[in-house]
Amino acid sequence: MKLVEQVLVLQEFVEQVMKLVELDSLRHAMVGMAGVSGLSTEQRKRLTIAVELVANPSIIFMDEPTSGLDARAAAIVMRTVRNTVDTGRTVVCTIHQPSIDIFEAFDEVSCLSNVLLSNQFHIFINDN
Amino acid sequence: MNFFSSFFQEIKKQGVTESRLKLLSNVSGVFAPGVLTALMGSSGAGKTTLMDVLAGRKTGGYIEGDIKISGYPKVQATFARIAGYVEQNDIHSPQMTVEESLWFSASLRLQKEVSKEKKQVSSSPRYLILCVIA
Repeated sequence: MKLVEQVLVLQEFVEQVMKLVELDSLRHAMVGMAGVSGLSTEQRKRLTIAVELVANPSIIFMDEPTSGLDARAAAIVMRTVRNTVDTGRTVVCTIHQPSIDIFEAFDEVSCLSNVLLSNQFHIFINDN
Repeated sequence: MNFFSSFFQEIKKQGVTESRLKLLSNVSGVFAPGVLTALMGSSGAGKTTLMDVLAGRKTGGYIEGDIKISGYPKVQATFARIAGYVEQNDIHSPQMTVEESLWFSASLRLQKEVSKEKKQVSSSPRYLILCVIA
């Protein structure tokens, strides 16, 4: 009986995460090999985010979640990242050459730089 | 915060006298909760290095300075339970479905005896401030 309860709780939890990253319609889709079969690059990225989310973390680091994606795919990924942030988690993403749409999705920018920038950003200075 | 990596033996043989290489120098800042923070920098500025150090994924090297979570010093054993790291390359099992992948991760990474309330997506400790102090 206890096991059944556990499974139900887990099921509900997985369900919530799938909704959050908008993968619930793809639940029975095979993951497949990257670039060969199965999920697209952007769906794969959302799955990676979901796999981290089911561990129920409070702080999430993302290493260039939008690189290698086209504009539309990046927008979809950013939307799920946004959904994650709206649950109250602390999210840190590194980005590289972001398009303006992606850049505007962020609330705060931390710059890692060897020159002192103006104080309007929230700055990290790496003065190597 | 400062972060150093140690040199390989071969490099020391080449006549390098320093014992370690400074990769992050006087980095400090705050990551606010419920806020999406972008970490920007030119190639090689140390974005990924900084994130790896914060997430505790660097096993070698020396870290100087403080990392605090909501005012408390970071303890890796407990931090690993409340942090997630989305890597750049998406590694998944090709023969599993989306739902199975999530089940697999959830069964491995969630505690066994968690009450119903605790497993809700919205109920792990939220609003944690991550602080890096030089």
